[in-house]
Amino acid sequence: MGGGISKMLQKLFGNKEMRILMLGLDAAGKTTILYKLKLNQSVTTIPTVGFNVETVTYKNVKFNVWDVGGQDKIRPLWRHYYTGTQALIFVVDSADRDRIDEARTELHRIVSDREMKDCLLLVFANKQDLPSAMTPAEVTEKLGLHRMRDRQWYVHPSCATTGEGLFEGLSWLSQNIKTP
Amino acid sequence: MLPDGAHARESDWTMFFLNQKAPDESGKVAADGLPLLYVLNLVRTKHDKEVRRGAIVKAMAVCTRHRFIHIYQAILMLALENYYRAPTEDTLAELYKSANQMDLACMPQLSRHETTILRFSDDQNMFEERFMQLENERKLLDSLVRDSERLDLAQDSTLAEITAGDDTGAITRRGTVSDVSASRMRAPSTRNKDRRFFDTEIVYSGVKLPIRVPMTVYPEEIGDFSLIQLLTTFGGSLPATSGSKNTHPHLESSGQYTHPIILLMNGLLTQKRIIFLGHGKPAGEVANYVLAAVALGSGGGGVLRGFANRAFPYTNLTNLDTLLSFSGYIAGVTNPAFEEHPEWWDLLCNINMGKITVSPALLMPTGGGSGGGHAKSQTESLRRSLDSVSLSRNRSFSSREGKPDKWNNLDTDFIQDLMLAIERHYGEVAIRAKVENYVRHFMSLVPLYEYERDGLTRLGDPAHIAAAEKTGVDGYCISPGDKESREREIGFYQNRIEGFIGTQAYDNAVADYQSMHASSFIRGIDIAHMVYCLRNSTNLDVNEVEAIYKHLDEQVVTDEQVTELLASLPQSQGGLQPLAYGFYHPSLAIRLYTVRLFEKIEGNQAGARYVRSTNFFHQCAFSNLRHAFAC
Repeated sequence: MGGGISKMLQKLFGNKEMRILMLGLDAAGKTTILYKLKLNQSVTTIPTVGFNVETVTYKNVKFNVWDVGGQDKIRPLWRHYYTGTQALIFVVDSADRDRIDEARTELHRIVSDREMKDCLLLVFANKQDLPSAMTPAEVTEKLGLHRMRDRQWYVHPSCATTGEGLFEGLSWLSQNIKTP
Repeated sequence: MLPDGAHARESDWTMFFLNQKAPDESGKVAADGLPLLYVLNLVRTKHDKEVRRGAIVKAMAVCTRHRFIHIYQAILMLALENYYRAPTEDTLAELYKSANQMDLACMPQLSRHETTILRFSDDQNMFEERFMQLENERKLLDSLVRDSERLDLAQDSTLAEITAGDDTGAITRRGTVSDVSASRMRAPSTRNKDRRFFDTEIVYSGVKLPIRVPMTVYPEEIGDFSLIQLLTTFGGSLPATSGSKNTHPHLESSGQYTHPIILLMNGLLTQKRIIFLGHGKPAGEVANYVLAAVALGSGGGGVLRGFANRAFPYTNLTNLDTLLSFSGYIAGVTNPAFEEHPEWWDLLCNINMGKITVSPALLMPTGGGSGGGHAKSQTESLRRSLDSVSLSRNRSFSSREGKPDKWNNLDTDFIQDLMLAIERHYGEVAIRAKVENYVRHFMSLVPLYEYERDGLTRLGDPAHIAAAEKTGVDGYCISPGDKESREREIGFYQNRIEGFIGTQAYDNAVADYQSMHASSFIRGIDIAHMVYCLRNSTNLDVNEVEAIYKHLDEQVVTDEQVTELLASLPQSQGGLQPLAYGFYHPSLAIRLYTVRLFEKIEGNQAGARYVRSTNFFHQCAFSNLRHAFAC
């Protein structure tokens, strides 16, 4: 009974919670994004062993962000984090043209999982500060996003170290979150 | 294996075991095979702006048969530091060589009974003679070696004198210097030492690392954990309630109000899948909870075996498949993703919150209840009907015994005693002893239950149990009052016993009983039970007491038998006190048996220390009666 009332209050005042999984190839900038969002600081990061998880509140939405290590050896573990995920943030190093195909393969593998079939997809075309960075349109094309018909997706340019573009991405998520 | 979050801390310890045997299709674990190897792993992260991605992470491990694996911490730290400087095979070889050169030659090999005696001894010199003997042998051997070296040297020097006279003097001088320092080192080691530890050292790249090897570890005590920490973390929390409203008979033995420690104990004894989750904690800390849980289930490490075989002190998602191949495990993790997958575990112990949760996905035991097979996708109505089933089942139990409150007290007493002891700052050994007694007592009920249900048991002597039905003395029950309380206990623990039968620990206990039966020195009587009766029973009649003393006097004759008797009379629980009351018994026969028994005990090295440590009045009574009987 009490649970029902608090749920109603939550709906009224819009205190939404959202579980987010942040994946991408190693050195794409996932951990830097996480701590830029959390602390508004640019921290120096080293390869993540396992995961980081932090809660970020933005526009009355509590984002529970899981940042999972992207080194190729531990990518098979990503699937264990799928359960309950409402949105996937896929981070791409826009300057890494050599591995954009690898990124596309990984992305398609993730979203084809049954447990991920309803989740939103936000792609950060990261490292836009680098001179050779691909444009968001180029990233969209290279990742083959136009072929994803049954999914809401959005590509946004970002620069994790300065924080540019990050909160715009979050507000797209908060606007499109499905209330259960 | 790198622990989760290694990037976020400077160093961390993990622990894992090799040669663990996963159960086969039938759920059984092979009895033979290689013994467990214990692995201590140190991980360090060093930030370095020069290298790509800003840090170097390295790990190094020591793998050993020694259960007291914590003694290798210091050398591992030094070796890993060296490995950062020189990442070569030579660095590993040096570590290997140094660790293996640790000198344990003077460490006496204590038998199982002797280990127990020393463990609970107030007298830290309990087996002084054994140490002295080995040290003297070593000294004799050393002096022989030295003599022969001197002889060689003398010969060499006469030869050398002919060729180059100056060098030889230096050699002999150097020899004497080291001799003096060696003997100075050895001299203090023979006196007033705590013989519950063996002091030795490892020399690693010129550094002498002192090592204290514990002499009193039980088979399932691994590393340097704190059971007290486990008990205080989870003992204080409110009674844990499972996600579903129906209680699992194996786990929630007192329904919704089962004490969390009892819940954990039930989970351990009935071989459930248990996870310790410490999000944000170092892996080493989580590992200690798992090791403590192993000790909790195995009865302080000394009653049951098989918990270490399914313990994963630290594990993570990389090891998930191995973990899930075990029908029951005890694992430590730091990743909260485990919490979100209740299908992976039966009990989840959240270290940060001090809370134990029963998995909502846990199936009811087959045959035990009518709800088996449905639990996972239960609808609300099914749940409600199950509720009423378990409720009515509870009611039928209580109506059979008529004393539901009394039932609760069996475990409540244990928990209260345990928590009070911790509050009063009792040590680890004392706390583990309480757990040992509790599990030992539980194990004494299992054969009775089996015998009552099936008419046979492989954990006890059916003849003894049958005799007990007629209130015999040699069996498991002595007086009618005793029998009544045992029946009540069996009724209370019925679900736990049923869950325990067929587990790996149960199979090991059967094997141990058979081998113990073959190898034990005292035959035909149940020493532990007799001691239990002398200590705890209030209304034994004269004949029963006389029978107990008579049996003890007849059966305990040889030195080994005395040692075995002493092992069941730990000094920390009063030592010979329960037996000494025989000195004051009105019956002449009992007094005589007691004196004869004490005389035999005094003839044993450890026994003499036991007698000396008894209360002054007991000693007086002993010497007076001895004279009286001698006349």
